[in-house]
This record gives sequence, structure tokens and C-alpha cells, in this order.
Amino acid sequence: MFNFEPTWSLISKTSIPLTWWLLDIQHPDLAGLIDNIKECGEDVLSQRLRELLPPNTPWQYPRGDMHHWVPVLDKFDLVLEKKIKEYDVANVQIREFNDEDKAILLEILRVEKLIMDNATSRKIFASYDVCLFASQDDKQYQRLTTSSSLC
Amino acid sequence: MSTSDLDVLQSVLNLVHRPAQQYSAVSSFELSENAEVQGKLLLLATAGGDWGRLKEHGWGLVRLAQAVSTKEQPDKADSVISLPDSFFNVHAQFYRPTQISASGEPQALPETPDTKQLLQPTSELRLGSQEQSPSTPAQDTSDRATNVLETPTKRSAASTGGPKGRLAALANTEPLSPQQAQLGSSSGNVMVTKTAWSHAYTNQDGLTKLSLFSSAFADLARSRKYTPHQVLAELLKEHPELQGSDMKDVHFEILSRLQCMLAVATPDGKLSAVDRERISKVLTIRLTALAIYCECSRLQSR
Repeated sequence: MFNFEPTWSLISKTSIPLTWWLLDIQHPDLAGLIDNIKECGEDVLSQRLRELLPPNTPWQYPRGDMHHWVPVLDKFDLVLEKKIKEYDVANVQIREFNDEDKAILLEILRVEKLIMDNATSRKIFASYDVCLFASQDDKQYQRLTTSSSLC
Repeated sequence: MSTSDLDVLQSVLNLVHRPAQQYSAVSSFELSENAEVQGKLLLLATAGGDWGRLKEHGWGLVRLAQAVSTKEQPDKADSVISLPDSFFNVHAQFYRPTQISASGEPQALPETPDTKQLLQPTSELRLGSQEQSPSTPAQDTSDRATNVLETPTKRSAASTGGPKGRLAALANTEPLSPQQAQLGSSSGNVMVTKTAWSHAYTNQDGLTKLSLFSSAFADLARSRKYTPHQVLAELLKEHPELQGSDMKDVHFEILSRLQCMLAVATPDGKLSAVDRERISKVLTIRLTALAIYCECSRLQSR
């Protein structure tokens, strides 16, 4: 898909209301939010997500496109994948999640739902494999994970 | 969906529930066409029929939800859940997928069990006063020969407490068919593994039946010492028939049933704040899974 870099100063001067996602342009606020999430480390991820997107508050950003969220979703997938392996969730999880890991998991799932609620092109969302298909065999799991990263 | 944490499971289902309501999103996910996920959702919603059995014992969804919500009235009659031992009745039967050897030929099931393996007592899950006294190999072999391989009539008549009584209770709920009894009558046809609280056998056809002894498992559930995942892990350790990555569907079925039973089991029947919270989580999970399953079925029927 053709993706051009807009000149923000020009766009902001126009009086025409823009439908950002139709033009495949990221709104600056949304771009900032995505960059913020992308760059924060795993150790502060849950806290950062709570700060940026507080629970029980309405969505304060413009409606974006799921394509823009792919780097964030990939990051979430990696974290989820790591926790699934660490706690052996795909088989029989004997060890309970510690408080920190549980907070990260709950925040990731909450934010993913929030993104689903406030983004278009939802059909490309492919992180279900990590949440639901963790019990499948490795080949299938790898195929699905690869497909999610390709989106 | 296999996680032991109810909060995480609830969040996963919430995430799935959102797009399940939207036709456009489901097209890529193909949730409605994924038999494995649908099967798991159905198990979470029904717990293999255990929610239905709970209703037969007078604890339907509405009454259970009301009992959980009466925080201010701990003495209210409905906040006491008393369930008979017969409710704690877990059975699972399955065929193992045929093992294909390197040469491409299907491998036969082992006919003669390893006696040492069969006679291992339960190592970690202790049942206190209800635990069976350690039996000698000879006694266990005798039990296997008499209790497991006997016809249902004989087993019912032998209900005089102890292991035999438990096996008799088991027989009352799920008797062997004449064909199975006939199969079991000749030595070498049945592979048996047993512990103080569970019992499994595989017949010549490869059908494996796993049963948890109601009274022993009821004590275990009421003791509140173990999570469903810990019980399943112990079962896997004690019953080699259950092991293997191709058995994950069976594991999930057992797990969902254990989840239901352990949620409503309380030491004295009274619901504490922790009990209420756990039951309300399990109920929410059940209802969310049911909602997603119904939506998927609706999409599939289009």
C-alpha cells in the first residue's frame, strides 16, 4: 500500500476534517502513544500501560488503523510467548503467575482489547494464536505466529 | 485458555468475546471454524456436563450467583453449599491416537502392565484419614484382578468400605458393559494403573477409562490444598496413559471438570469471601465462554 509522509504543518492548517485512518496516516497523538509503548521496557510495561491508557477511562485518542499497531502487538506477542513458555501454560501450569507477571499479562490483554475496540482493520489482528492456540503443536504455533508478524 | 489463573483466563475470553460479536473480525480469525477452540469453549461453558449435574443438586446458575452475591448475609441458608460425595465424580474415556512406528506400521498397545509401575502409591496428594493404607503388591494385584475385572454385579455386591467400596461406588455410576467385562476377563487384555484416589484401565481396543473415586476426591477437593492443575499434574504422573502431547484435549476436559468441582467444594459448606470471589470468577468465565460459543455457532450456521 502506498504510504506517504505527510507534512503535518500543512495538514493542520487545512480546515477540512481529516479521516486519518482512510488516508493511512497516523495521527501525531496516536503515533506518540505507539512509540511510547514500543520503546518501554518489559519491567515497566504494566505501569506504563496503566499510565498511558488508564483502566476504566474512555479512549482519548483518534481512531487508528490496526496496521499502525502491528509493532506494539508484536511486542505484546513476544512478552506473552515468553510468559507462556516460562510458566509452561501450553501444558499443565503448576506454578502460579507471580504478581508482576500477572499484572503484565492482564495489562497486555486489557490494552489489546482496547485497541480492538478503537481501531479499524480488526480482521488483521492475529494475536489470538498466542492467547488461545498455545496448546497446539509447535509447527502450527510457529506458522500462526509468523502469520501474525507478517501482517 | 489452559492457564491456571482465573483472572488471566477471564481477560483472554474478554478479548475474544469482543471480536466474536463482529462478523468482519471473525473472518480472519476463523474462530467459528476452529473445532479445537470451539471444543474448549464448550468445555468451559459446560465443564463436561458438571454444571448440569450441579443444577440437579439444586445449584443452578441463578441460585449460585445469588449465594455468591450475599456478602452481607453470611448466615443465609443459600450461602451454604453442601454437595454429596457422589457429585465429585470424574470420569474420562478416550482412545489414544494410534502410535505410528518409524517403519510406518501402527504400534500395538502394551498388553502386560509393568507391575512396579502399577503399584506405586500416590506420592504427593495425601488424603489424610481417608487415605488408603499402603497395600502389598499381592493385595493390589488381587484388587486389580477382582475389582477391576469383575462384572458390575459382582463389584456392587462387594461394597464393604475401603478400596472395594470405592470401586463399587464407581461401578454404580458407570458400569462396565458386558463386552468390556468379557474383554477384561482374560488376563493381558487390560492395562490398569491406580492410586489411592484414581483408577484407569485400557482395554484391548485401546479405550482408556479414567475415574476418580468420588469419596476420596471429594475429600481432596474440600481440603482446598490443591488447584485443578496440580491435581491434573498428579494424574499425569500416576497414569502414563494420559501422558503425551496428543492428549491435550483430554487434559483440558479433565481440567475444566476439576475447575468446576474444586470451585464449589468447601471444607464445611460455608462460603468465605475467597470462595465467593472464586465462584463468581468461574461463573463469569462460564458465561463468557458460552456467549462466544453461541456467537460462533450462529456464524457457522449462516
